[in-house]
This record gives sequence, structure tokens and C-alpha cells, in this order.
Amino acid sequence: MTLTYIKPEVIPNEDFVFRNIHVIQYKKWQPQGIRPNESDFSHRYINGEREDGLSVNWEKYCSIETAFILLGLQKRKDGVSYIDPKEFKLIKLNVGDIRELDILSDSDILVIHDPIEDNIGHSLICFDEYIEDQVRLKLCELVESYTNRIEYPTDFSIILKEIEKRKKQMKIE
Amino acid sequence: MKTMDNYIAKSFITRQDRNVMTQPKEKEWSYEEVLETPFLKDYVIEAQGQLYKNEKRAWGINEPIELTFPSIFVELDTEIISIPNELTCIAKKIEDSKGILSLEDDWDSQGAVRISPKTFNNACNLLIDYSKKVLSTYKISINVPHINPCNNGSIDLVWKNEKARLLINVKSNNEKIIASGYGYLKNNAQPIQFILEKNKPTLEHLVFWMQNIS
Repeated sequence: MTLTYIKPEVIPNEDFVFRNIHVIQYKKWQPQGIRPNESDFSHRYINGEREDGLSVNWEKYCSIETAFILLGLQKRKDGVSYIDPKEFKLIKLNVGDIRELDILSDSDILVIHDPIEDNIGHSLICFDEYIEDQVRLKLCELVESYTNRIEYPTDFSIILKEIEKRKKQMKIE
Repeated sequence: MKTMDNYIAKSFITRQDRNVMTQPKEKEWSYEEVLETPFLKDYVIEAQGQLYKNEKRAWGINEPIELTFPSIFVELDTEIISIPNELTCIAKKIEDSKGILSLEDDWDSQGAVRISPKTFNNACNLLIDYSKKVLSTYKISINVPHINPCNNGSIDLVWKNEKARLLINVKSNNEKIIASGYGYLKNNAQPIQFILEKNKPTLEHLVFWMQNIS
């Protein structure tokens, strides 16, 4: 297998990125009938493993449909089963808005292109650990200010078909 | 009719608005048990529309006893905490959020860590401590926060109203720091950033600031 180097690009401020959020979890533990506000996702902006940053997908290379297909091709922690993309929704964020978040700190928030082998649109929102709470709170407020903040495909059947097709291809390879 | 001394009485805990009790909904209490349980013995026992206080009385076998309390009790993993009736909504939220503990590893399909009882207890204790402190100091009941599990095993307490936002992240696997947080008023006014350490008293400036989320 050959690894291809993909040169990162500068993401313009006017572009958008998608952050996937897992929503099915609420059905497991929230009281019946109570659903969280769709913008109350501070816990989805946490950088759990203190990786390089929060993973997002750059819309230029990753449409809503592609983002869901990529999710469906990811394996779960058990290494056997695949993620069910229907458990997710996408939050759409403007790159300029993220960079210009009103953060009380000397450090900046960066949105950088970080292409990987299977996902050219992969990008990262990077910030220092000590401002994480602040950034997460501000991201919530930003998302709330958007009229159309949640993206979800209208027809999932096409996406599921594509996922199955690609899984078969992967097995052949 | 026989006295309660030798009988187990079937009882139930009222779950009306003013009397939230997170004990099992139905439990068998002996009279002695009621008297010997610290959080019960000083409270009024109501039965058949009459009030009795730590008073032995004639009781029918298997007669239901309704217990009412001037305070609310929240049962956590290893302790039962009493909180004032003014904070009933907080107690309910904690009760509703216990489902967080049933989340298993990988609950978000992307490798999330399960929430430990210790972290959940820390979150609840912190919430109760600060709610009580704001109530006792300023006679104000703070709003009910969202209690959300995070993928790294920590818990977020999030408040949001028309004038303020506050996030407290209760850590997991950190022996020294219990939580960190950030809050601000509209237009980024009066920002507050803090770290809550184990075995340290409540932060007075945070208690003061929390009046904004009432």
C-alpha cells in the first residue's frame, strides 16, 4: 500500500466545515420526551484525547453526503462493527466565525486543513487546553446564532447503498 | 390493631413536587428503621391524614405509611444528601441524569469512555454544594443546568439564560482538580474562569457570580 501525501491548503474564512455530533445517545439516558436543545452540544466540542484538535470536514472536499458515507465506513472501538451514520447529525460552522470567536486569551483558534488518506477534507480546530471550556461555550453560542445549524440528509438510502458498495470494494482490495 | 414495634409496615415515598425522594419508590420500613435512620427520624410521619412525629402509635399490619419531608434527599452512590425544598428542580435533574451511569464504553460509537460513578457523584456534589451556597448566601435558587456526558469520561454542567452562560467540566481521573469552568455575561462581560480543587472550600467569587444563572 502506498501512502499519498496530500498538500494541505489554506481554508478561506468564507468556507464552512462540518462537525459530526452523536445524537442517539440521548435516547439511552435522557428521560422520555426530553431532548436537548440542538445547540446544547458543549460536550461534543471536547477534545477527549487531547489530539491535535477537533476533527471537522471541510465542505469544499466533503459534502454532507460524503461526511455521512465516511462515518459509515469507520469501525467502532471493537474493531469489528461499523458506525451507524444514522446516529449522527452534522453541525455546519463558518470558518471565519470560528477564527474570530471572542476569546479572552493571547492564543488563537486555528482552523487548518489536515488531509488524510481516506478523507481529503479532514481539518482541525486547534486551541490551547487551558481555554477549552471557554472555546466550547463560545462554539455553542456561535451555533445557536445560525438559522440552519443542523445538517441531515433527506434520503439516507442512497448513502447506505454507497457505504455498502465501498465496504465490498474494501474487502476485495 | 397492633403497635408497629413488631411489624414491618409497607410504605411508599411520595414523589410529589415538594417531596422528591430518590429512595426506591416502594420500600419496607420497620418502625425502628424509621427512627434509627438519621435522615428520617426527625421528620414528620404522615399517615391516614394525621401527623405523628417520632411517635409510636397503633398501626395496621401492612398498612401503607406515607412519609413526607421538609427537605429533599438525593441518593448518590455512597451517600444520601439532604437539600432544601427550594432546590427541588436540581434534585429532579440529578435523578433524571442517573441514566448517564448506564452508558457503556463507546457510547458515542466513536470510542467514548464510560462515566464513572465517582465522576457523577463529584458532579452532583459540586452542583448541590454551589446551589446550596448561593441559596443560603443570596436567597436565590440557581437554574437547573444541562448535565451532559463527555467522550473523555468527564461531565459538563451547562447553564444558559438570557443574560449569562456558564460551563463547569467535572473531570474524571484527576486526583487534584475536580473541575474547571468558564462563564460570561452577554457581550463577554464579567468573564469568570476557575479551577475547583479537591477538598477546597467553595469559591466565593463563583458563588457570587452564579447569581447570574438564577
